[in-house]
Amino acid sequence: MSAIDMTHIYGNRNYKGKWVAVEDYQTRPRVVATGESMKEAMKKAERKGFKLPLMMQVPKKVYYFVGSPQIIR
Amino acid sequence: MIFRYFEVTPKIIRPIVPLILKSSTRVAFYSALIDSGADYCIFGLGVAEALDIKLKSQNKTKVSGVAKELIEGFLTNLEIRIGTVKYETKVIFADISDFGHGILGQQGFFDHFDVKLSYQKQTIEIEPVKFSN
Repeated sequence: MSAIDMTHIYGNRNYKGKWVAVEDYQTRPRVVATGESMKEAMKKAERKGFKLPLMMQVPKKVYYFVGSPQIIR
Repeated sequence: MIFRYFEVTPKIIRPIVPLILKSSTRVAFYSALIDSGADYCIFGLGVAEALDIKLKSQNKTKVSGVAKELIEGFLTNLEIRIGTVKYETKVIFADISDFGHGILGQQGFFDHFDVKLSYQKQTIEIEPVKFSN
């Protein structure tokens, strides 16, 4: 088993900074709609007949992540 | 349940799992990174907007990462479904737009699942925890 290849989506400059709706994410992930917001991309996908696509936000640039957010009360 | 890592660049693979998020009016299929160092599950503000969730100022909190910069977040109840397991939990909505995915942390994820990550196999095994009364 290998990782799901999303490099063609993360590396596509047309998607940088955008929300994308992805179909067939496990086999051949492909973008079926984009938007400035998740809401917009979901609506566009729905209008095209895709009821529940996988929603992702493509970062403008992929940085190494060393996050671990903590809550501060 | 077994999931596969996401390859986001030729040098970076991440343990990201798909999940269904449900508010009282909307449903979304989203993806989130498993992060054992995170206290809570965190999703972007755009997710709250898409789910028509009204963020309440009385539920404001602060979130910090290794960069020490504090960001504002909102604690909110949300229904999460991963595979066949569905539950309601408290999550934080915050501006994490530079990151791209949600984050699954201790409360709201690790308290519901035993998790085994295999970087070599590029697989994520999660097993629902059996709650005892």
